[in-house]
Amino acid sequence: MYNSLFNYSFKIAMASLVYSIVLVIMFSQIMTLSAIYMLTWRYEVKALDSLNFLKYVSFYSFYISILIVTIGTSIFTSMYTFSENGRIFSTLRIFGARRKEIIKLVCLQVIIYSVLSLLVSLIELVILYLRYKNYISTIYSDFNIINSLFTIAPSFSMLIFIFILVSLISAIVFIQKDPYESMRGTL
Amino acid sequence: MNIKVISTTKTFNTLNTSFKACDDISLDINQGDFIAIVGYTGSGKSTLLSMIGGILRPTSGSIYYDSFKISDASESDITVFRREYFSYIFQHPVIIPNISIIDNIVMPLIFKSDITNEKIEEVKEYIDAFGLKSKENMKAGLLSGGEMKKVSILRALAYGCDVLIADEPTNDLDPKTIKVLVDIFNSINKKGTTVIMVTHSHSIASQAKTVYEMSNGKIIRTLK
Repeated sequence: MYNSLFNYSFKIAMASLVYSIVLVIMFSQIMTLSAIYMLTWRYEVKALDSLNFLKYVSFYSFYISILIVTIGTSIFTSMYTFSENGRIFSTLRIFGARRKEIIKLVCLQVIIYSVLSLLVSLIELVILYLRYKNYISTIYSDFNIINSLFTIAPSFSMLIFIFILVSLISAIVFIQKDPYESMRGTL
Repeated sequence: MNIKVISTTKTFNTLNTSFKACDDISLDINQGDFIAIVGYTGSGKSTLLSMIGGILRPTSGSIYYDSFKISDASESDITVFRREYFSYIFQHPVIIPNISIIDNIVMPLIFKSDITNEKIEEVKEYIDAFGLKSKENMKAGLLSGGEMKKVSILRALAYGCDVLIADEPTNDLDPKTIKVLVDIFNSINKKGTTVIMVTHSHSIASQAKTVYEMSNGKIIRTLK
């Protein structure tokens, strides 16, 4: 347990519990929205018959908005992580942790957020499916419903990939800051 | 590892002014020495300690660790060097408030790949010696200032390198813990660890083999 970097990442994430909860809720809602719109896109013709709203919203502009919000959330997550844990990272660096090791710690934290968000989103989708099962059955066949998993999966993968990639790039930028700045006056 | 400080100066520049925190300091520290640096607040003790510990680079002059010259080394090399050879007790306890005491102590070791069962047992013995056994799984943020200082000392002791850099390690500690700490310093020093300590207490400094007194960025007296 003491040898696991993942364990420490998780503990650092849990140290900012309120922020972690807000982030997971926010990212999971982005995922859920993305999944719903991916399904709408996949079965566009049938959905358009039932949901007037979609006649007035461009699917592509909506999806681009989701991606932009994801990128923004990811950058903000890195900013928050570095500002909240600046002294922790500086302490670890004084004790000999290299830049790439701190980045690894931050990325593991982002992966934890992503996995938790994915779980929340999946639970939400299952609840939505169960809630509207009767209605969905009337417009989609069982084959279509199973097939929809292959539509949702790339949607989630894309969002998680962008979230982690942008966090990684942000972390590489933030780690360039003078590592001892937050430690001045303490040593 | 022997440390050689040669004509080292550290100047801090602000917008309008600059001041020399350390001015043309030279000293030799051999492996296994126990050094104390004393002096008034603002005399440059902590800056000298930071330069010796590879945290600050000197503005001029050289610092050698055997044949390794810090002023010519890359940031990455210095980081690896610190990992291998140095352990630090900070003037103010810098700990992670929302994780447990034992996690605070052990966490830096993960980058050194030095977390063994024996090491955990050793850490627990230190925790016991410092009277924190009943609190080892408590969140560090719930501790008092003195207890946080103990955690920061324990982290340095657990790290266990060739050179221990300690900046005012006895601040905020009760007399009993100070005695335990001094005994530990003497014990690890006898085993070969170089101890370099900044202190305001002359009675603590008297435990060292060599005492340097600093004033206005210069070493004004050496007592052996």
